[in-house]
Amino acid sequence: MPYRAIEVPREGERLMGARTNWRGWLGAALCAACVLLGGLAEAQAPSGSPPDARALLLSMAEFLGKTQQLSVTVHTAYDAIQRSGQKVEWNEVRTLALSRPSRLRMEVEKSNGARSLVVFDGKEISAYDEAGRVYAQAPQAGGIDEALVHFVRDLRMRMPLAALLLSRARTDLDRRVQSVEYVEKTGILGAVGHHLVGRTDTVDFQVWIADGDHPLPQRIVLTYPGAPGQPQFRAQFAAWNLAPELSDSLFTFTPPADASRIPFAAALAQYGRATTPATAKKGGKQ
Amino acid sequence: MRSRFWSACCSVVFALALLGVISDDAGAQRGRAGGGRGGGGGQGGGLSREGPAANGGLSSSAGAGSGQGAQARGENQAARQQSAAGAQASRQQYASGAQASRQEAYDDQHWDQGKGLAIAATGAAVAGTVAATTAATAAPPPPAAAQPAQFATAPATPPPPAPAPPCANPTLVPAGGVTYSKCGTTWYTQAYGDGGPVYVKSAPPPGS
Repeated sequence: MPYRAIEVPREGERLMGARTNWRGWLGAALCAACVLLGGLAEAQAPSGSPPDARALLLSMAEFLGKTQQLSVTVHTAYDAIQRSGQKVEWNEVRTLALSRPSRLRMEVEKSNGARSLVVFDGKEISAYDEAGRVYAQAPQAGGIDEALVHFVRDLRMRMPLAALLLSRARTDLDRRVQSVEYVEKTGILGAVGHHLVGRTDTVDFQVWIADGDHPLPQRIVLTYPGAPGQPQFRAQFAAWNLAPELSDSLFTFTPPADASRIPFAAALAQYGRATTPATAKKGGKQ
Repeated sequence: MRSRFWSACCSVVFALALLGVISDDAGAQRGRAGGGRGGGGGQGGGLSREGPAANGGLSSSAGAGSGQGAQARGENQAARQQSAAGAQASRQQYASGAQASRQEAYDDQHWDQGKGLAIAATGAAVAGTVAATTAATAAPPPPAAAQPAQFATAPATPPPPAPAPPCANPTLVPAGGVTYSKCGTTWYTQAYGDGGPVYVKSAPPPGS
């Protein structure tokens, strides 16, 4: 009995040890499984939360605004809603050269072959139409920022996406963009980029921004939801060059000998409104 | 008896003629409508290149009514209600001043919305163009270049012809560095718009 009495605990201890080992191995296996499954799940899911869309957008704007010299070719297209309700897409190619603080050159070729030229030389704003052999000039006060605003707002000339060329593009966008969301990371446009979608108070936009140290726009789509037919403006950027060789002659406008100088139409309209508003209004209805 | 017969015949002929005219007119209207659709909007064969998307701006005047503009109107109404206790004159002055400053701030923030000039090829009449064109061309033009303005790239499409004059055979009158075109009794000058050169109605050249 004493022997048994002595042996029973030994047997019990062995059994207890075996149970403990079994439980230990089971626990270890479960832990390993959890770790493995967790690792697998993490590897399959996108890493973390999506990038901050607004930060990406503003980094693009800041990068563009701080770039002192650049050249780029932009293929643009926009919808024009006809009276029938049909949309017609008009295409243009714009070749831009920019040298801060005050010089800009933009060549424009429309899909019908019409070509025009806009030059900011630091002292004058010049616009030239090749087919009409005419040009208009206005004084340029200030740098590119002031000239762009004057050109678009006061002279009422076309310069699509001019806001991106401002040196204060970041501030301008930050103030005007009401919402922006991250869509996806994609390489569908040829290089890896971030696809964002956002809104100002009157324009919906999408932008694809190149990934990496040079957050340049690859493509931009603007939609005008408040306009009949909700037309779009589309721009595809190509051949970005952040260290172009830009000679002084590139920003010097010398009109051809047979070209005539004409006023900007906005100058006429402003004069008409400022002096004889009643007559101008009446005339405007004709 | 004969007179009744002839009067009846005349009535029938008149009624048939009237019906023919009506049906002809209706057919013409249907035809015009169809032609309009088929013709891309019935704009005389031309398609419009205008529209808010052409400007490529981050703001649009087309959508301003539902956004900031509406908000501005709401604020304006609130401002009017708040100042209702005051004198009517001061209330109106306050409201107009506030509206003006808000509009100015809005325009400043939406500088690229592209209001456009709404000037067609031979578009809106603008008064006082004589002084404006003179002012615009008062500065001596830069010396004529030996070489024309060069484009870096060759055109992908043959260039279009020069813009047509405002009428078939205008009378051209140069004055003060500006060439005026006279069509009948109407004068035009050429100006540079957002889509290129356009003809706008103008006052007669000085001395004419």
